[in-house]
Amino acid sequence: MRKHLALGLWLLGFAVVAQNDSLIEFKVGRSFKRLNRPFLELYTEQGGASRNWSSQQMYQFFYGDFVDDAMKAKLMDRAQNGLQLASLQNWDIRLCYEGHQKSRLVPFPKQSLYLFSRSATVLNMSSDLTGLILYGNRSSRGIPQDIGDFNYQSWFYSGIGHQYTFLIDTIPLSVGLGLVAVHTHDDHQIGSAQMLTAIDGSSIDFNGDYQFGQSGATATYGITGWGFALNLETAERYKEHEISLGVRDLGLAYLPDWLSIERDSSFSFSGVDAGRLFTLEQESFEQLIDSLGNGLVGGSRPGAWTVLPANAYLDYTYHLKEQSLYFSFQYRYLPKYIPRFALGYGYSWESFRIRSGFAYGGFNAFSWDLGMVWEVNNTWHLRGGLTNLFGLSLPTWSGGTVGDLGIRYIF
Amino acid sequence: MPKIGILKKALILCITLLFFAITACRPDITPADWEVDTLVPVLKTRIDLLDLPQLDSTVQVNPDGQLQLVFSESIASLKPGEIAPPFNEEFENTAKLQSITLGSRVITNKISLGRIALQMGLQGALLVAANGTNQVIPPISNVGPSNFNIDATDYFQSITLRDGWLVLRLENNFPIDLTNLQYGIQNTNAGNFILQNTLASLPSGAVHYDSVQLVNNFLIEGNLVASLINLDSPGSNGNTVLVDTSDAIDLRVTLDKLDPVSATAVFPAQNLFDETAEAFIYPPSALLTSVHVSEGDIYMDAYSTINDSINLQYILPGAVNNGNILQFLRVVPAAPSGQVVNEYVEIPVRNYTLDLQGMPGSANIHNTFYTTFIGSIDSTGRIINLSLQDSVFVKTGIKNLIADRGYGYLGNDTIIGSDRVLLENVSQFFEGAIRLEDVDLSLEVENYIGAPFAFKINSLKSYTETQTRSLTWNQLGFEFNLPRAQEPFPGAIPIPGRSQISLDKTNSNIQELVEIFPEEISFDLEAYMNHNQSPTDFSQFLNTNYGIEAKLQATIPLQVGLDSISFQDTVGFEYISVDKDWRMKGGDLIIKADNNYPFNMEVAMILHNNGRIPLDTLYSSDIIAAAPIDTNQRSVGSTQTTLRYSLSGHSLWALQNTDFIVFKTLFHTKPEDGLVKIYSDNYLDLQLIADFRLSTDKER
Repeated sequence: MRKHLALGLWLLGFAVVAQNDSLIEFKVGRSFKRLNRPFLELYTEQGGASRNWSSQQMYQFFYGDFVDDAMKAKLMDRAQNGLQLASLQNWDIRLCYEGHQKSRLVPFPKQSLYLFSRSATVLNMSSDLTGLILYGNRSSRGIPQDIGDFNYQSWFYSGIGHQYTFLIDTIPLSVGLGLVAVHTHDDHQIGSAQMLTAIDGSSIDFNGDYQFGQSGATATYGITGWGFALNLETAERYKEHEISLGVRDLGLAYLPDWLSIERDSSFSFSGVDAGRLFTLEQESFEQLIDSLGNGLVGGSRPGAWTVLPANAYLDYTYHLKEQSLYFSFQYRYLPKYIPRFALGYGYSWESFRIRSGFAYGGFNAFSWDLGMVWEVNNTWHLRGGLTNLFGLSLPTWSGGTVGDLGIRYIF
Repeated sequence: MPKIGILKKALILCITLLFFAITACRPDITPADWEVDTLVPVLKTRIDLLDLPQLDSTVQVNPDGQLQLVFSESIASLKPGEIAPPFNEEFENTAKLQSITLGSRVITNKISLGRIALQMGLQGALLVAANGTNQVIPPISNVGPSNFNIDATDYFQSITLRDGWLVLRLENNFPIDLTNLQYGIQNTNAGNFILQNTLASLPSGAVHYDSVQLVNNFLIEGNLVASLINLDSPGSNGNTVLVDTSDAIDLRVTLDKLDPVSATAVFPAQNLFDETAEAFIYPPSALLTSVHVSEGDIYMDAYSTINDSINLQYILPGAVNNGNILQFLRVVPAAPSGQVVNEYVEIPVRNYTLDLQGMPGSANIHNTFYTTFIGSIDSTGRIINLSLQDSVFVKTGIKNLIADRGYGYLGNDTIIGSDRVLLENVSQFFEGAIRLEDVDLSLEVENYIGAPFAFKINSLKSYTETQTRSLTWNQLGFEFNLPRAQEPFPGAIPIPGRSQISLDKTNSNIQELVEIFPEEISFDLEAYMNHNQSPTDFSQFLNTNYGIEAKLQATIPLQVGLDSISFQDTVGFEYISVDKDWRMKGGDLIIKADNNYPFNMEVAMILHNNGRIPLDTLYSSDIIAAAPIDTNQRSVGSTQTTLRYSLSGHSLWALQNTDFIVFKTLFHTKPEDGLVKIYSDNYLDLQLIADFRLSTDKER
């Protein structure tokens, strides 16, 4: 699939290159120069974060070879209040083919087409469950384990959309509507639950509820559902005050082959009951296993609507000539995502703008924000940032970071 | 309008593709692996002795629930010998011409008045002219000689007779008397007179008989001439008579009681021979009234020089199959002149029931049957030539007649059984020693022969590799009666007569023979048919497919003391079926036992590779403890025990390379408990728990 996509892009690119110049023409008013000219922008956002494990620990766990007992102890030590892990991998390609005729519509493109891909994985689990995964259940036998409050959610979808900006009174509103193809989606939860391994191992008791959902794709870019995603954004500058807010990927998707398992029960497992051993036949034994499996994870496959992981933000900046102060808020519709608040300072000189501040929330706890924009020339603009500089500068203390990078080519 | 140059377009394209290639690939993150210690119940099951397939037909439950083992082993199968030796018998029959008849022959002719008148000159002419009128016929003299043909060629061409008669009848139907009648009969060709005589007077309407005996190879031809040599008549003596030239003298020549030397004639249908002969079979001492034939043939070998086809019919009237009597008919073709023809036929006698009580109407006849052989010729109307030298020689016979069933009085016979038999029921699964409270052993003998037997057991021994135990019993050598069998219908499986002899600890040391779990058992017994019986019962029968069957049946109430009784079973094993990703790094296999049986158990698992070479033994230092027992030696409640089997290091490696596991279980009763009873509600509950260290990473 990836090869086909690359081939398609190559052909598209070749077609682009091979076209006469006259086909690549952009409408732009002369008076705005580069501010609202058509552009091609490539943007990506990638990273992993944890409120518990440090960057180093995450790296060793996900990219290392073997987790020994010493490392387990350290990982467990950091997960005394539970474990949260998350990763993001997003990319966008936007072609703004029409610039603005009105200054008020800046900074949004007049019209653009965009491709996007979203990948997000979030894991939340209790300290006891973390211990069970790292150590197994033997060490906790005889002690009830709280395995509730567990979430695992994973998204992978992509889409194509069209964006248009217009004025409502004097307020610009950018609306983007995209068609979404869902590739994979997993959503597993355990509500309130306890597990107890008998001291002698004779039984494992479970008491609680769990939901298990899966879209069931077998190929990486297989499509398991369709939906739509809406982007709504606005921005306003009045004297020193600048505010922008918006929501992206606000939408729904329908997954027709959604595996849904829900249980709310307590059971005690003391081994597969083979009955009278000498009368048991292989076929009957396998049926017992199947029956047990169906009882635990057997489910139906009805279609289901699901809400996409929307991303909402609010950004307020107070400009003081080259300096600025900012306050930002971000929320992603993902399990256990703490609304992220940031407060910081910015400075701009020549073609460079940078801002940095402290934040709390998101996939980290405390974090050190960093963002920058560099207008390299009239044609190339770069922007990037990190949600948590601590994750790189203090890898043994802070847990991960999410970076972003954008490249804009202005026509 | 801004336009983009070619170079810029290419740069844009490259950057786009590079960006896409770098960022769009969704990383396939494989976390580091680690090991976890799991404690997981795997399986729980109940073991019930009643479910053991090896003991499936062995264990029974008493009314009070106590188990008993029942073993049934066939130790002897004595078949009777043959009913009678294969029967072979041959008969010869010869038929010659001297036994052939020709019957009697009659030839007739007429000599008319008109014909006589032709020899009377003018007188005769006047007589002819007066035909139909009434005239006075004057005297006649010296009429003759005149010849008249007698044709018997329809019956024979010629016959040479050793004996026989020619009878002549003359009837005068003239209206006048005849005197001085000289007549003769002669062979036409040879010309010799067969009969010649003078009759002084033959009145009108009178009959005269004359005869001659034909002896000494007298030849008589088929063409004969009757001669009237001389004839006189006094006329009508002046009386007027009707003159009818058709009036005649009737001639009738009869040939009778012919005893030919040879003949060229038409022979009438007749039996050349009709013989019945008896045959005897020789069973050793039996008086048989019938047998069922399982194999055998009857045959006929015929040689003939006779110039006519011969019908040969061979009949065993006493041999019947589905209402059909055994017989066959063969036609020996006519032999060309001077040559011999041969005809051989053989037919099977299988499945015929042959009556052995001799001829019909016989009484007190046994072992005897009869055959009938008939040779005949049909009257074809064809003239054939026969002589005294011509004959039919026939050999008939029965060969290899074997009976599979016999009926009657079977006589006396002795069957001796002496053998050493391998016992498979128990020995291959159990080792060790067992103390039994009691064993109830019975010898069941089934007699499928329709005659009573007396039998005795001379000895009985049991063997293991290291021990031999001999039976001591107060009835060794004692003669037991074994009743006869009954046959529902001929050929059916007989309903056996049965005799059961019990041995227990009150009359023998039988439990000592069983305690060692014998691998072999030897016996020596004799059976006597119709022992001390007089031959009065003729309803007996013998089917050679069935004889005497002897079975040992042991009933062992499970009140036992067990001393290292081991039970083992081999099971195929494939490690990959339980750990397909090879995640196991070691640990213990725990077995939790809840034992209601009144004996201890030690369980070991011997791991073998594909070549059955033992790699390692998994054993536990603990044993599954016996349940406590009450004063009735019956278990009450259960005992819980936990066994641990280490699966680390070499043991794990051995398990991973195991193809067969031999489960060996040792059973002990506690000495202080004595002999304990085992009941159908006893059980052993097992729970298998895995206390393993597993890797999160797949290996291999």
